[in-house]
Amino acid sequence: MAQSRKKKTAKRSASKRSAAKRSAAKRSTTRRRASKRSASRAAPQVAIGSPESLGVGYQPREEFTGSYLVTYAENAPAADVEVMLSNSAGVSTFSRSAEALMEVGNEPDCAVVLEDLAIAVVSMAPDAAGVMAAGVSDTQTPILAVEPERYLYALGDMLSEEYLRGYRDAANSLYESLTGGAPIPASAVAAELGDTDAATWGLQVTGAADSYYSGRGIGVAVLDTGIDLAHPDFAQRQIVSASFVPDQPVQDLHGHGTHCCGTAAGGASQSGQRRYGCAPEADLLVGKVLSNAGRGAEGGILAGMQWAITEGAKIISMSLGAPAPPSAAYETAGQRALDRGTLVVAATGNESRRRFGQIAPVGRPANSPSIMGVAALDSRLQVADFSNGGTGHGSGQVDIAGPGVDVFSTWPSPRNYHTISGTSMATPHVAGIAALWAEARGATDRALWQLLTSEARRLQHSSADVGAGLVLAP
Amino acid sequence: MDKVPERSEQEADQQARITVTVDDEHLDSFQEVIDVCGTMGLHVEQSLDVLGIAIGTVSRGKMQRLRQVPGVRGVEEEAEVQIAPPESGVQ
Repeated sequence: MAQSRKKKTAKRSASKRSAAKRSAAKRSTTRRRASKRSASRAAPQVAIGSPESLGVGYQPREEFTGSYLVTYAENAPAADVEVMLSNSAGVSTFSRSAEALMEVGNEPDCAVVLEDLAIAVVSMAPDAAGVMAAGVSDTQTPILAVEPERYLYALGDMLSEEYLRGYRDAANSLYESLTGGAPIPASAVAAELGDTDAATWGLQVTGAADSYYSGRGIGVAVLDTGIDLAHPDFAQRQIVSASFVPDQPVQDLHGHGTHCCGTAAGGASQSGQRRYGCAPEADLLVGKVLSNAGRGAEGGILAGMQWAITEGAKIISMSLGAPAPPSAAYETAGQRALDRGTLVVAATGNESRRRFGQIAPVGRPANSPSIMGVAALDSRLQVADFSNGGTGHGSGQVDIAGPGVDVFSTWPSPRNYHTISGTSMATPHVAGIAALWAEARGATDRALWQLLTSEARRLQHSSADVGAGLVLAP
Repeated sequence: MDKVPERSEQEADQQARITVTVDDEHLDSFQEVIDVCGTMGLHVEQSLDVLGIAIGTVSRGKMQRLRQVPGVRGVEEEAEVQIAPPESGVQ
């Protein structure tokens, strides 16, 4: 009974609907609560990780209304979208008025097209939604994303104990940081995870270890110091590679590139080590853009980006950067990569010393709005001491966060494995998990970006430090 | 006795490695835009037509003129990236 009342509340408000659109990128002010009844109506193409797979402290939070949010290209005429919905989903009743929103869900095959938001709220059969979701990668369609609509609750009448506890923790954290007091104990926020025989802590907490998907058929390019092509874990893999460093072959004599390749697209090791790779069946592309001494010119990095795009990579992972302001070249390169179906993720940088209150701005190229900037978390889901953050004044922002402290992955022989830290280690987690989403939903470029951020796990940290939160696997 | 160049002239003659970014409207005529830049002193080393970015060298004093070329969105000095050495615990 109470549930149906809340449903109506959520449905009636056009302003809440606006929040639904905005919160696709940053869900900061709305709370979602679990409901077994609604979860059972979840659309079939949505895979939800088990609470166990998502780490201690995780609360199930999926809840669907039965309608779908269809995001379409902002430049697409609403009339074209209506024709498409009519032809492909059998929608027969249309409205462009927010007032009609409460009718969607009560009636089959109807849609409200909100032109200002470039979003349509559609009542359609789950299989029609599945077909539409599978077609979003087609460049001919204006549809960018299809997602089951969730209930959203305004604050105020929904002050649960859970919510109040989260609010209190956040307030405590803010108070402590403003007064210079000791931070709240990490144990109060999340229990610490560790590597197990089966998987690294990063694969556990993101759900990658338990994901049904493996990145099969999805091109993931790692632009770095190359890879140890003779490594026992990679020797059997088909790897497309190229070097953009003068006079140096792809073979990695540094180690950084081999580590990042392992996290993004490696697998369980040949020697029975724990699993460390997010997308073990992705098509791995390796572009050497940093020398064996770890140096690289931007020209080589940009050339590597173009190579990866033309080779068909859907994701480019760049664990590199410089403490420099945003550049037109990288911003343009990121845009044109997205235009061609490729999402670029990059490390935000390690120049911060948060224990001394020093937060350095996001480095270049992660500070480009068109490139997804990745911050680093530790196994208690605290922001890593070194992880850079958004410092305002157009200096770039963090978009998402990944595991980046004590990360186990591959290293050139004879060492073979190494555990290190950095936003460089967080970035290939996001790249590999992006490949899982690309495989699961057929989403690429901007739709893939939206999926990663909207499906991220909200954390009790400022979005300036962690963006949308912890990246989660499908 | 030869005239010693002023410091600013020396700087103007210094070669800079730069990126030249072509705007969306001229992406289809990327090569022509870069050719124009070539006539104005840009020595092109790489033309990345998919990204619409050229990399090359030019004397520092001519960078401002390249910014005036129709279709050029940005002219920026190339920066260098340096990651931590392999033995570092934070990468």
